[in-house]
Amino acid sequence: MAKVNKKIANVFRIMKKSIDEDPQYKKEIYNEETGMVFNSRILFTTEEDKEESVSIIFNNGNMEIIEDIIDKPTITIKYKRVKDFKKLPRSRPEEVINMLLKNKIHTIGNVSHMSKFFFLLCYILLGQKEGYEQRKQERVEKNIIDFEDFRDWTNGTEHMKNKYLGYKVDSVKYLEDPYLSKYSLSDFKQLEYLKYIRSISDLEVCAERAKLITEISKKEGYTPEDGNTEHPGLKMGKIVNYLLTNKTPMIQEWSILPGTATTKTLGTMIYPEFGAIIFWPELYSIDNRELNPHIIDQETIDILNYEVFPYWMDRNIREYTRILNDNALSQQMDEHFVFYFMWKTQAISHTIPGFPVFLRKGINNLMTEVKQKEKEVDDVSKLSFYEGIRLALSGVLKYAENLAGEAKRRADKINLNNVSKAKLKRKEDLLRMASNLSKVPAKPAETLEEAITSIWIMWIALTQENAHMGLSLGRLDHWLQPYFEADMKKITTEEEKEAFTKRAIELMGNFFIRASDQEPLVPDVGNYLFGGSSQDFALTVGGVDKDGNTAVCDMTFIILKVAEMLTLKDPNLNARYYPGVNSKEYLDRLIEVNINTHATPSIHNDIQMLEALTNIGIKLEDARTWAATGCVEPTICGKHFGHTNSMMFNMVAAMEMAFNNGMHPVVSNKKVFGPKTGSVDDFKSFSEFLEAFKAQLHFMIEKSVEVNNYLGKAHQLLHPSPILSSLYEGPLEKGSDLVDGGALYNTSGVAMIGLADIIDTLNTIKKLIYDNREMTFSELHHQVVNDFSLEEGDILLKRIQSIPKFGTNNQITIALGQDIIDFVYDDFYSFRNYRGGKYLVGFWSMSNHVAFGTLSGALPNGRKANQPFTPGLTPVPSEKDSLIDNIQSVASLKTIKMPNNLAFNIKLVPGVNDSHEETLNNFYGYTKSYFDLGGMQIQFNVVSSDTLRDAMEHPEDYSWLMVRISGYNAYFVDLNKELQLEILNRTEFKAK
Amino acid sequence: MNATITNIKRNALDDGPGIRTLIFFKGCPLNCVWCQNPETKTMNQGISFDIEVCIKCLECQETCPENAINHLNIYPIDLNACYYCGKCVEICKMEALRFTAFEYKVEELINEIIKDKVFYDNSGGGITLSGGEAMMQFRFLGKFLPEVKKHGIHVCLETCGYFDFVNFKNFVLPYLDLVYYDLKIFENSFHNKYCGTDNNLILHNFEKLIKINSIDVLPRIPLIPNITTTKKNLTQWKSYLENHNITKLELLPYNPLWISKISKLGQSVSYNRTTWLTKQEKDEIKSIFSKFEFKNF
Repeated sequence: MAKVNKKIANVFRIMKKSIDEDPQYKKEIYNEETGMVFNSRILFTTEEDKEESVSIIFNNGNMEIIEDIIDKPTITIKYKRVKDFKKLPRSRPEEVINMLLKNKIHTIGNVSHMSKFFFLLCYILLGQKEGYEQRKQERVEKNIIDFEDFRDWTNGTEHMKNKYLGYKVDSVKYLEDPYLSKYSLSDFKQLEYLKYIRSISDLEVCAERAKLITEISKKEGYTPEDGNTEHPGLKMGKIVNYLLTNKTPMIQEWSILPGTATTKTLGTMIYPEFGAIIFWPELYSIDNRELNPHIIDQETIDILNYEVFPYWMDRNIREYTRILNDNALSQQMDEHFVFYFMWKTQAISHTIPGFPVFLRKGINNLMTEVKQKEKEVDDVSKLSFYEGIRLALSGVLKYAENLAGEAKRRADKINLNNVSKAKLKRKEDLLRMASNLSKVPAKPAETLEEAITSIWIMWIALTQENAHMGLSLGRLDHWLQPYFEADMKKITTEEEKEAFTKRAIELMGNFFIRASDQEPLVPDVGNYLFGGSSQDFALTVGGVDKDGNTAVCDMTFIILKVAEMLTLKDPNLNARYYPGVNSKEYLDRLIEVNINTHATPSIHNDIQMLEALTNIGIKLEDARTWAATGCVEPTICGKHFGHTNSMMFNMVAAMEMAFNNGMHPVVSNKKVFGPKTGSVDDFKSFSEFLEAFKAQLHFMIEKSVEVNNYLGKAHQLLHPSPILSSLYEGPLEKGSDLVDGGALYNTSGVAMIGLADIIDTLNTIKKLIYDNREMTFSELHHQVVNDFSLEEGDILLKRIQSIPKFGTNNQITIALGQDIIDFVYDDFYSFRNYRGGKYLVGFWSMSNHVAFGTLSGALPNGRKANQPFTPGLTPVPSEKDSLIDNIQSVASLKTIKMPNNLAFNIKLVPGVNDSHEETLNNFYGYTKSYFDLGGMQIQFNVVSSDTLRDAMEHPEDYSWLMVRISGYNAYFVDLNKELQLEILNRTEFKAK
Repeated sequence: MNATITNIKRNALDDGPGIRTLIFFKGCPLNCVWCQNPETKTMNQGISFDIEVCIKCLECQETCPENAINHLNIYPIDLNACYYCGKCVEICKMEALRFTAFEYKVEELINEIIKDKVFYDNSGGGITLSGGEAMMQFRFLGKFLPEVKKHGIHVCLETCGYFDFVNFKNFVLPYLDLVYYDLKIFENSFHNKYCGTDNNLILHNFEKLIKINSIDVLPRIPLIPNITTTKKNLTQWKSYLENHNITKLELLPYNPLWISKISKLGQSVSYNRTTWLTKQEKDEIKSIFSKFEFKNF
């Protein structure tokens, strides 16, 4: 007997009454001012009982409630259980999302409509606006110290030990002490102040970009269905031009680099054409959520609610893909969260532009080249592509011009009479910015300051053009060194040299601060999926040049010094080390910086990486120019469009499907299942089971590739990247955008998650069931399904613990791991992406080892249900662990089969009584040995479990504490509790 | 010729510079009441039992031909009835039962240590001969160490000093890079009482060794509360070291965790301090050696 639906229908009727009677609510579905009309057919139903269904039809301002199913729903919101359905009227946005994640709800259809509906529910029924307004009134303005009164500020980095190196190494030309040991942050007051401002600023939602892109798209049309049949590149050229021309030119107080990503001190940008709509229900609660709350003003809410989000409901990449492919099964699987996470719904970035060419040419010359190309071709589509680039680049010039004007205006305001020294200096800085901007980015850069300014302006432009997730900076040390040298050459005295070294640190420091002035807008669900992640602008130093010579230079050490002094999570610092070519002193310094910052840089072995890259057909001289993208993944800068994090793939899902004849236990949608590989007792041998697991993996791989390609096609149709394309080798020559395969190299990168747990699971099954025949598979499975809570479950767990794990240098586990790696490498490699390129696997996990873990059941390796997997390729923690065994095990796996890199996390803590020398020596010993054994990437968290525990109890004392997750950095106190615990529970090795 | 070894501990960071492999040789001429490695006291075979690991499957009990195992006891083996046939060790899938003595040929031991050579090389580490007293097996060392040096591996000896110096000089010394030399109790009568022997030989050997002056020798004093840490004993050592112009030593704080090892061997405790050194105790000790260089603890 259906009952619940009647109650819910009654609640909906209250909502209807409010809408019908109160114009304030009415305008949420029918808005005469903005012309917005919300028409939708929403069906709520349950798996358990089809009778428990209720539907709402919004039609031209009317809301109709039907206690039954309706046909042609825009979206079906299906609850697994009636008891969860019952909670609907009281559901806060984070609860709904949580149920979605856990597959207690699943949706069929346009999820934007669900976002809109839950916004209405929060707004009309839950009265969230009232709470928001009250909080706004109660908010106390922060007391921000003025620069001129700013004296000393403890930032938690005061205990840094910085060795002195009295000689030049590698390609260092000018620094007498490459370690720059005599400087500390207190020598750079302006930088210290900017760091202070950065760390006390609250995140604030900035709607400027969202508003502008909506304005221009409404005017010109965005999709072909809107009637905009222009070439997508030309359309985007116009859009980008509009965005940049109308962007507010801002210069942060006391910054010596002009321009800001948003209009806020610390802002989050909104990309409604991608995934931002999911954030709709949170508009009135984001200021109050537990993790990463944002300030949001009423004007911003109204812009997003009335103008921006309604427009993009059917036009965002996710929904457009759904329309084009008739809600493909592969796309539905993405929305079950447990199989894979497709990044193209949010962004396609994850690549690295070729800044050196751009710095040498400047935009004017680039445009001249584009015009030349236009003369050479008569293909209409190519002509449009070129025109789009020119329009977009003119937008960059216009933005620079506006910024120059702003710098001039601000300088003029500082009256020369009766003014402090600091203000006078400020006036000089502002005029200098104006003069720099009159030259770059239009013309070639000639000085270090011009080069950094030029890159920064271009960087802002790129983040306006396309969502900034994982867009990376490349090899700034190597690329900026010529400008540093050119400046140094003009210098004659030691004093000037010293002053310029300080200036270089200051400029680079400002760049770091600027690059971290923005964060991605993360819906609350993202706090759990991607806890504490920033936009992951990776910056890479060191390694070799295209001819194989050491590329470690003065700027390398300047960047390391800046990273150490500022200890910011962004840019995400990665260091390449080429054993035998780069000096030991350089590796020593990398380790010292890592110890001082607790978490950065992550260190890569060039020998292994070059082998992996050349193996997939990249020319050696190109491979040598690789840099880390987003987290750790390689991109051949300016030649390679590799969307290196196109998806995060949960290998454990395939394992659970192999246990259940192709069904995934948490997924209620019966349509989704892999091949019927049989039930657990059907497997006569271990190899039969292994084959079943691989069959499920293959099924998931096939589906993930399919949906990634569908999404890629939607990007091609809707959202190419003209500015980005102009910064690559290939697109201009071919006359086609990066997203259409314009680059020299075209690949897609995958993050394979859960390998260590998979290996241990396989070895446990092999040992208990097939080698020793201690129990049957169904007995084991029975315990696993019940989370080892059945009788003798604890004894079984103990027994499982004694079975050799991956990470103890046990050869069977290593062979199992290699077999799985080979399989997924080959299987992915056999597919082509939508640009004709290959799929490349890597083994790192951002923070999805926690998120996927939360959604997965117990495993035969003893991992309990909902617990995290291990990050990246890191072995499962165990009391028997020895770091040497861990290192030897990970290094035994063939990195040639991991062209999208890996993350190997080690928590290594110096003893309290150890000397700095001893600590460095042992860290060096482990790192260098790992590389000598064939390891490719290593990252240390240098923080003790005691400190982490204390930070969980007293977060207010640890705002500076940076940790490395699996490829990226985060501030520990920003993380969700599961992730904090995962880091805490990682094996703590003593460095002595 | 074989060595009798209890355990090989890799990734050791506290027994010499860098990353090291520690080899615990069996047998010791001393019999210290606080011995931290009781399984190494004799060369005899033994079986250790880890109750934490055992899942009480009782397969060992069923398989023992002498019926010498009874899991109602905390240490389940009746050592008077046991012939060390090893059937129980073999059947224990949990590895809760383990032999305490293993025979190694020179090549076998070389193969063990060579696994981690890359770590020694990159960290300035190597191997450390520990025990027991490695010098008890000096003939083996005389064969083993030349092979070790062929691989260019750094060798450190941890010794109680109770050995024949001629044998030491002929078989072992030429291959050592560093000696950690334990000094425990200065007064002979107390040394006899707590360590089971005179200490004359120990002191003579120490003096000879530093006189030869061919390698680094670091004296170490294990800090055993109320035995070695008496003010008198430490002051005596202080004067002794000063008289020999020694300014650097290592002080080894007491580690009570050894007590759990004793019960694993079915033996009873002969010294039962169960707590770590207090701050006050540490401060008093440190003040005695304030003029010496030592690693803080």
